[in-house]
Amino acid sequence: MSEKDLKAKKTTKIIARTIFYLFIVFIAMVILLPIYFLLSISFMSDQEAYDWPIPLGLSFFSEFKIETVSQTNDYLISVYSKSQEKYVSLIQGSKIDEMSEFLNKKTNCKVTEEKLTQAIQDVHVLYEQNANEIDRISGEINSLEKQILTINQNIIKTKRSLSIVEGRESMEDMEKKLQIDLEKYESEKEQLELQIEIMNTALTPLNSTTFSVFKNLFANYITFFKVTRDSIPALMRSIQVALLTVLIALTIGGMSGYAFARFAFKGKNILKLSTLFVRMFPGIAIAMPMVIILAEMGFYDKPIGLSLVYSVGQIALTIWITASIFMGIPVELEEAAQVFGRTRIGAFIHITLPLALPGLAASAMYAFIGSWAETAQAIVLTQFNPTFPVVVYQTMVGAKGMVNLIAAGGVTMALPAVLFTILIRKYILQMWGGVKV
Amino acid sequence: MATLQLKNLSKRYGKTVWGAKDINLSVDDKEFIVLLGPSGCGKTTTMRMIAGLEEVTQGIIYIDQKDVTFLPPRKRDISMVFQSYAVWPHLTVFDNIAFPLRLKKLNASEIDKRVKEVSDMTKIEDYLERYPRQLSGGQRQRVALARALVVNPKVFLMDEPLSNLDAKLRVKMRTEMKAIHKKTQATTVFVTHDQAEAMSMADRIVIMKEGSIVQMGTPDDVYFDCEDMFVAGFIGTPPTNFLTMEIARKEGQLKLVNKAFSFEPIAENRDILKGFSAPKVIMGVRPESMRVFTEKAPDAVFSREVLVTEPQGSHQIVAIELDDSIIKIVAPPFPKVKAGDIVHIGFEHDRLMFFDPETQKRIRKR
Repeated sequence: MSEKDLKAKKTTKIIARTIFYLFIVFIAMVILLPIYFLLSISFMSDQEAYDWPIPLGLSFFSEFKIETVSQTNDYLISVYSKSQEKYVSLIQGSKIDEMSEFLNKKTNCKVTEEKLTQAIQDVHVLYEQNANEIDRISGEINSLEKQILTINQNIIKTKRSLSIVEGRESMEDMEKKLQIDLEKYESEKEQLELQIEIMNTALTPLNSTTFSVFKNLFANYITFFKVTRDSIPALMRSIQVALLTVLIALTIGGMSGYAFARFAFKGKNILKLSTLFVRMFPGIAIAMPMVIILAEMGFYDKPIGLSLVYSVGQIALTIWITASIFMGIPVELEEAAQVFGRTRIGAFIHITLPLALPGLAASAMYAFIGSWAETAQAIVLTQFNPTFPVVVYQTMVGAKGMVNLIAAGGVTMALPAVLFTILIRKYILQMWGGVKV
Repeated sequence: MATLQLKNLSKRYGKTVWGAKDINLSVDDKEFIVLLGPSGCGKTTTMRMIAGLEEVTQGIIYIDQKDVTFLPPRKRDISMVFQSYAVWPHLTVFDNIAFPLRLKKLNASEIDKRVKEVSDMTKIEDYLERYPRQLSGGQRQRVALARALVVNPKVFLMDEPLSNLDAKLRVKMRTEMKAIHKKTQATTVFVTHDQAEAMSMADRIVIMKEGSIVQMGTPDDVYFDCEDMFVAGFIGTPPTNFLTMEIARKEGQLKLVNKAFSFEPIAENRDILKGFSAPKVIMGVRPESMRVFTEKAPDAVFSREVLVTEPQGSHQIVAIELDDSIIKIVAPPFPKVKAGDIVHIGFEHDRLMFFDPETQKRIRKR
């Protein structure tokens, strides 16, 4: 091969590899970005969550500004907003305890009363030091604001005249003149506003102090558990439901999967299909009649009832996964164990089960996730003892759009499933490559 | 070690399909028995019934005069080598071999000693810490063999253990297994469809067809003294040639006549055929029991043009056409014969076998 060919080959290889990595990065972004958004929203305070654009970077502390309000005894407290790049006023008042509480709730920062008192004292000291200067500048600002008011009136007047003149013949000169006036007023106004801003920045170090407070990142999680009705028992119930479902699905589904894999019997294919048939019905449709059945059994509004309903779908999936896994394990392995001293059940437990673990782990994961995060059926089948997803759902519809709280609930909901998957990851990873015999 | 007896052993699948029917077999102590037959002949079914992996429909299995028909496999005191090796993939080689011993609750030092012994014998002592997936097919086969040997069973069962190996390794393992058998003196039942394997390893070969035993005997018996046309056609490569001959009886004389040729049988064969009254007989001739002459010879019975030759090094196979069927002859490597040559063919008359065309059974002297 000539050198040119080699070079061309190298180039195509590099291009192919680049495209491949771009694709991988794209997929990673698609998976990771939403998770990152959810996480960062769940760590946000109310004030941040309703800022626009929502700051997606994590912030660990907030910066506050406190200033006196002229002609009153009140203080104005503002917080620095990263997305608007300026201080946003939060509260005006004079009662320190009320302000402290409000700031705690609004910004997730623990602004203690002592800290506030200290800041107020600082402001007073500053104020007294620069009283003359402040008076002068505020006077100037006041006069500037009055000028703006007159200009505003002028602008309104001009606009009104313009609307009358507009479009009429023989009045073009008039229209032109008015337009020029309007432009003049507006540029004047702009200049005045600029001046006020300069004044204000000059005023800021004279009449206000700033202080920063560390943010409590997990405040939303704490609030979520405080606000929502019995969310910790709900969490426990959910874990109970999920584990029960895993247990039922694995025992029944695993055993039937084994039967499907090892034995020939009449109607095997129809049975196989019919197990999947169950999954074709929406869960909510099954839940309705289940209310009556579970109530008769005495399982309504109990974790065991929920997991029984979830098991219906999960068993089908487990059968499909485990049957193919068991089919991949040669029956000779069991027979050899029987010849060399195991009973039939012993051979299954000591030979087949360890080999089938990846498949069983995968179906356990499916069953866990499927029953852990299920909401629709849980809403129908519980009343006073809801599961965790129901609680999160209620927060969503009930609390008037507390996005950060819902995000915190969502993350809490994801945690057990993630933990469970990490615990059994060794077997799940084996599942990717199939059973090696 | 022990004996093994099968009495009318039968296995029925469903309502009508017989996997094995009326198997009667008696294996002596230390004997190496090979069950041989084409696929689907019931040899594996029979072995699995002996192992207890298949339910018995009818009949009794005795191991050492003890009825084990309804005992589970682990209580039969047998061990088995599977076709697919059936080495447990999640256990190391050592654990695989030690598995049966651990279940017998032997102490660790005894287990170590026994595993070492058999791994030396099967030459896998270097791989004891490995997992089966790190071994080649031949090594896995040795592990399976070692595992079967380590328990000192009464009966040793092998289900086509060499069929998954490549041809060269198969021949090597054959010799090694025979040596191991000589050493351990275990009563062995070996299932195979490979006649070369059967011939080279067996003390006795049991040939099966459609679930029944057709013939039982030493390798020489089943080769030279076939019970029927199936055995004659199954054993040997190339298989026995079958020629349909008319029997011409004239004034006490007897002549075998074919479209192409005729000859007078030797006295011994004449005695056999005298008791047979049908007009036609099928003559079975082993390819190596035919003689090929390039020149006219007194022993030659007929002449034919050579269709093709297959040189094999140690010998050459000469194919001719006779009565619309191909006859294959194993001839010495020299003189070389080419396609198109006219050759003169004779028989080794004392090796001829005669079969009844109707029953396909061997015609024997009355």
